[in-house]
Amino acid sequence: MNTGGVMLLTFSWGVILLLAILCFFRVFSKKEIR
Amino acid sequence: MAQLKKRDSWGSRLGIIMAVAGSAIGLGNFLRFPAKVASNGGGAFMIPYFISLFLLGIPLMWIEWTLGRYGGGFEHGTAPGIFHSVWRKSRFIKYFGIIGIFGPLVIFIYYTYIESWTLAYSIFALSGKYAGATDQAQMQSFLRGFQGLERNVYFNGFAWAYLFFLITFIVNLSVICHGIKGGIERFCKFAMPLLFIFAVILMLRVISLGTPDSSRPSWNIAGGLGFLWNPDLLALKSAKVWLEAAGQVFFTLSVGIGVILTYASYLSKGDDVVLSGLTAASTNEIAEVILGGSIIIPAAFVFFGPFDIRSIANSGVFNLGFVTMPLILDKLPLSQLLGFFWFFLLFLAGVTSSVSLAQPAVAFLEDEFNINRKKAALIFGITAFILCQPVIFFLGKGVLDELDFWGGTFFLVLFATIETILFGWVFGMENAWDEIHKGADMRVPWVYKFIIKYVTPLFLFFILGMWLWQEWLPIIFMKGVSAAARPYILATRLGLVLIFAVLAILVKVAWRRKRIRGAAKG
Repeated sequence: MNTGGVMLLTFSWGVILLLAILCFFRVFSKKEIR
Repeated sequence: MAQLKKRDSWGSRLGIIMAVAGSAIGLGNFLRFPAKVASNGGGAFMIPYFISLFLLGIPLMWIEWTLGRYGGGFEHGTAPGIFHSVWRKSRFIKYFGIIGIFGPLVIFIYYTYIESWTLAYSIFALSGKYAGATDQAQMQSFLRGFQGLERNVYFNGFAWAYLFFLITFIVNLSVICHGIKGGIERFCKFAMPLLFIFAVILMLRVISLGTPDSSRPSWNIAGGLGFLWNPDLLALKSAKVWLEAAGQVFFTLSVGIGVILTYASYLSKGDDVVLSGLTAASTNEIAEVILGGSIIIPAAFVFFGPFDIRSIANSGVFNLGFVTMPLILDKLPLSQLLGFFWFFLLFLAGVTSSVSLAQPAVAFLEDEFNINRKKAALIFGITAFILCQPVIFFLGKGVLDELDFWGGTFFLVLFATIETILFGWVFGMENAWDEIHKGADMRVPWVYKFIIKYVTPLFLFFILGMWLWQEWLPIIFMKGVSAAARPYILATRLGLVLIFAVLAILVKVAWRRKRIRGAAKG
């Protein structure tokens, strides 16, 4: 695996994990549906 | 006069997020995505992928969640009613909405059969039934024997396939019968975490493979991940790569089918759709990019090497899932258990998707004809069961591919284009923006006002045009189809036209009944 591969894997995983963590964090801290 | 009953609803926010994510996560996340990455520039593929996700996938997700919740406020859970609620002046828009029931129904009738293969293989894995097949040719023969395409040492007809189809169909129907909260939500809240646990176990097992054969030091897991992720930046000059990335994003999120409209219609007016939609999309992305990208292709590289992996990556979804993966897992300790994990996770991914595909038709009967849930599920069950039979009996004649083209490809893009225009241009961007933010737990970045109105529809027109020109016209005109298969393809098309016509008549009858009821009231 070359440097470009490592960078793109890290970038892709990073973006998706960050998005998911932020979303779930907000979901659990906000109100339930009615 | 028939008493209007109360519509079903979701029990919790996590419930609808899991259900929408479950609908989106399917075989494509674990099989189609890694194969597309490997054959379209490796890691470089992720650049057009992310651009498509933010300009096409996520806006469409928000559009469908918002339209669904809006229509639900008028007691409509399917596209004919939802479209009519948005554009009341048009007498015809409800007929375009038929695609939102027709598409999922068509996908359901072949998807359930494929889903039943995963259940069968999970049992075969545990019992060691395919353990005797030790190379690609033998495993292909096993699959063809199971499907009833040939009689061989493994199978003598497709009785097993039919038995597992019956079980799968009953599982689906029993989930649907129990409704939104008691059926779909309850099932997804159990199935989704289990699916993720199985996928994480498999991912960790693959990542920890190291270099299993010391005589071939380059056949290692770092090489496998490199095969998938090392970027070929020159590939970005190819329009095909950009189109493939847009297609992958479009198909992975379950947008353009009509199921998100229906699911969101069971929300209340003040329930958030922005954060919930984004959370469901990001859950799907974890399953696709992180888990899907770390299992089959890296593992295949380790066991088949850098030369064979190219043909394996291009061998198609069924070959990857039902031929290559069992062969890989058979080389590992605890192969029976790992095989079960693999196929059962695909089965769970399948059921959470197929119940969502059934829901629009069931909701249509419930909402527009005031039929109770159990009766609606029974009508749907009998109809779908009959429609499934040609797929099973004429599998080798191209019926499944034909249904997949119309129900799972062509009408999806068309439907997404219609609802985007309806949302941004007919409903109006100001109204749409207010509607999106009702009860929202986060603001949509203002740039999306521009993206939803201009960029997403243009993007859709572009891919619709490109696909029509490059790929769809030869399929529509049956280029390359053998003379023997043509009658089956034509019969399938005739069947599809009949299904569409029946749905159009049902819509007409439903609206006429409403008009008569409205006139009687007042």
